[in-house]
Amino acid sequence: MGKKFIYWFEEISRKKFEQVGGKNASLGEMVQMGTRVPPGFAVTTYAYDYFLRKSGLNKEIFPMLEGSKSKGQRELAEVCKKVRKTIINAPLIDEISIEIGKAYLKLCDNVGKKDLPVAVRSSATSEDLPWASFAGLQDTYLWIVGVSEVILKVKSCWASLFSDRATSYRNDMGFSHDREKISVTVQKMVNSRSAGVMFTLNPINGDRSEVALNSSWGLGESVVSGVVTPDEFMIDKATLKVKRKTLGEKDKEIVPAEKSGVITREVDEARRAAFSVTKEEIDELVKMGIRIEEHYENPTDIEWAVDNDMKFPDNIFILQARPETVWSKKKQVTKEEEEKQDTDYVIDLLTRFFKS
Amino acid sequence: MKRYDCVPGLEYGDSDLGMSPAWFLDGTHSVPPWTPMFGWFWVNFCRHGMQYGAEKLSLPTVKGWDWRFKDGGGYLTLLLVGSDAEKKEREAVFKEAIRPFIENYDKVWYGFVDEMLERYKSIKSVDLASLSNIQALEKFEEVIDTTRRMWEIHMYMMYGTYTPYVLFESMAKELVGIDDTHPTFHKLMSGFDNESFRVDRGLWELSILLKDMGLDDIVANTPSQSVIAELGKTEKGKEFLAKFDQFLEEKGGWRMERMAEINVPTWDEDPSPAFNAIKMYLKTGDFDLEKEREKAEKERKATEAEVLEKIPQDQRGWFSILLKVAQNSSMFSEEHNHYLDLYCHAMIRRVVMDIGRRFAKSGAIAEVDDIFYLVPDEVRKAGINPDMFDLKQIVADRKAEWEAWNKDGNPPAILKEGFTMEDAVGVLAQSMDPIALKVVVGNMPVPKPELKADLFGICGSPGMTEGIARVIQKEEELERIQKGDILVAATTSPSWTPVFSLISGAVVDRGGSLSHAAIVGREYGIPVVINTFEGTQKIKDGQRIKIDANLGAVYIVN
Repeated sequence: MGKKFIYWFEEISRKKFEQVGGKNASLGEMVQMGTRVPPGFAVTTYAYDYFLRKSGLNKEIFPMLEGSKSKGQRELAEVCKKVRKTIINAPLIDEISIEIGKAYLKLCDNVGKKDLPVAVRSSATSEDLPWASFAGLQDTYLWIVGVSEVILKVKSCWASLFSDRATSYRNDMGFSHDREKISVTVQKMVNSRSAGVMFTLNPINGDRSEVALNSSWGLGESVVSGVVTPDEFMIDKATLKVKRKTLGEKDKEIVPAEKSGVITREVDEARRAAFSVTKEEIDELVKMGIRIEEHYENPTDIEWAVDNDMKFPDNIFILQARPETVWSKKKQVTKEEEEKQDTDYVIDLLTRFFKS
Repeated sequence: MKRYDCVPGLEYGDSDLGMSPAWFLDGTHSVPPWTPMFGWFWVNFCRHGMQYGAEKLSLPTVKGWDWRFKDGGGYLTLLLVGSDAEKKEREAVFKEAIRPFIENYDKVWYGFVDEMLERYKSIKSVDLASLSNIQALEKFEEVIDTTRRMWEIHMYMMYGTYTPYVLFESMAKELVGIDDTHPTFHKLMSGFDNESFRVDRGLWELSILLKDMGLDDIVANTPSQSVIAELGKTEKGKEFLAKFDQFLEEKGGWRMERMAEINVPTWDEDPSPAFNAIKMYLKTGDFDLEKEREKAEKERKATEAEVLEKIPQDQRGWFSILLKVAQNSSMFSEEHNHYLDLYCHAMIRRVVMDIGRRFAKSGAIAEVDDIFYLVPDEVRKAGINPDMFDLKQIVADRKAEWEAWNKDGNPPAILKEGFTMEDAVGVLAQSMDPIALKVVVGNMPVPKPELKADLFGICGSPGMTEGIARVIQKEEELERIQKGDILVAATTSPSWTPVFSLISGAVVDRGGSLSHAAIVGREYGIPVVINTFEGTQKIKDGQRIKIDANLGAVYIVN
């Protein structure tokens, strides 16, 4: 139990939270409820732990952090930087790097694409860290290609446990620096042909017998940010029949750039005039949407994509799902909470400032 | 008759060097030397306020300042926290004490403003002349207490406001590479309205009104002292004067030429300086104060976005909070002058002048203004029965001394033997005292020989300009300034603000990025070089000069 370095999303349930952290656990949950997410795997907290112990790094970095509590801002920042550098520069234990390498290559294989670009993100396990979702622990590296790069970014995620802010938070709370573990998510970058959002109710009149679906070419950002007027569909939940549809303008699309990042480009006339999802794709999406709604027992707001690299139906992905009512409440609290955390951090900096 | 020290218990003596090896002259406020009466108020209560503020906030490294009075000068030294154990204890308290400044700044500040306005109202609403001597003495004690409270609020607020400012500067340097001599930094700090600026806007609006009413020529061509009489001759003029009185009543009445003294009239008593200011705005032609402010605000917002872009995503939350708190500094710097120093000093003057009239009438002193050469203990001594006391000799002696102080001037610092100015400044820096860092010391100019400039200062407000230098010592001389001139002065005060609409730039001997000239320069969108130290000596009036404020360089063209 708990001795594996890697878990595929399909193997993860909520119970594995300790080993895979919050982000991986919720991706696993999505898969468990019968939806599809961009494929990927978790590098477990055990891998992190094993690495520190086997390499002897734990004997090196934790003593460095001793006494960091009484240090001024500048000194603390220097110590943290040194710790992070030590972790990132240390060679990874073979046993782990082989496992990560194998998993990455298998992911490429599954997708059917060599040098598959992936996103590498940290997945925090600590419930003690209310700010974990925004304070440096959300390290995200996009468009990472190749085994050695993936390994480097995994180490960077591990090192993020020792950001200035995380370290000073543990100091303030009197936590020891080795109490938290961290897991990492490695997931295929979405290369969407089409993308959009879906509500499992009619957002205008609240009719829960309908699903509203918006779709446009390229990445979903264009729909979410309102760059384009998307195609709109209203679907009957019971029969999956499309009741109404409107062709959107879709004059622009956002697509992955050649090397990294994204670009916005014009959409040609032919594609502007065509709907950006097929009937079978809509069917698949709506079915997943209904499952998610049943799981949350609430109308749900869903971001989805149809991937270019894979074949139907494996290419229909759910990127994010938020139970509508819960989300609006939760979002507010989180924002206030974030602001309070930020205020506390400013006060912390002010106090520390007198030591410099 | 027994003559008291000017500030009993706080007169400078050589033994004070045993307590601290370095005493600095407060050149911003006590040059030229104070009258004994005002010196008493300042040294007692500014000193009290600093220790009160540092203690209330439990600043980890400093317990405020100690002050002494010497020959009309205020001399100060820092009270440093000695042991690390004590620093630690103070830190723990500080953490909670600073919180309201981050969480709810406006509530803290405007709560105090309301408290002070209540106190002023209690002094202002009484017809002092109708009081008995006993009641007048009670008002005198009341204004003393009001001054004590004013300084408590003043320094508590100032420490609480400038500490985040100094931290913000250091973080901005680290994360974005800009400090508070950098034009980008200045843009972040400008484009905020405040009550002091609203007084100036009132004056500017009056100048526009004059033009609209066709009265601008009369005001421009009449000496300021006679403007009111001249305007009173016509119906239209009277209409304007009604608006003018309303302005004095609501906004500007307690302005004085010198902020830290009480021996000059307020605008309520003598409004001619207000007309000097209005004339200045008349001369500026198409200058639009409203537009300048909007421009500064727009620029600030753009700069904020630009700077945040450079901050890592996960750091933006706290950085924005700190930025917002730091931005209070410009507003507070101007607004506290308005609500605290100027208003309170006008109240002191009001009450002290009333006592002076009583004393002069009963023959205790010869002239009403002689009251400024007495100190509160002497007012108390003769307050109820002024006719029974003759204080003329005390006044004569003190006046003679005061005149000598004015003639001789005070040294910038008093140092123990073997202790250098560098040592002294080192101690100031070590204190981490934000007022010492930003107001007393400021950033030191770094000469850049490659620029071949004649003078170096630091950038107070960005930009470049060229024009005729007007070296101004006193406010009266401000009328010599013509549109496009460059103001050269030792320092500037709130009543000088209108001239910034006329000049194309300014060079100031002393002051940090939160000094008046820097703040107003930024709001009026003109370049200002500060901390040049010897600008008023090196630059001759009428010379053509060029300034590049971004580089802190001043060139004498001919």
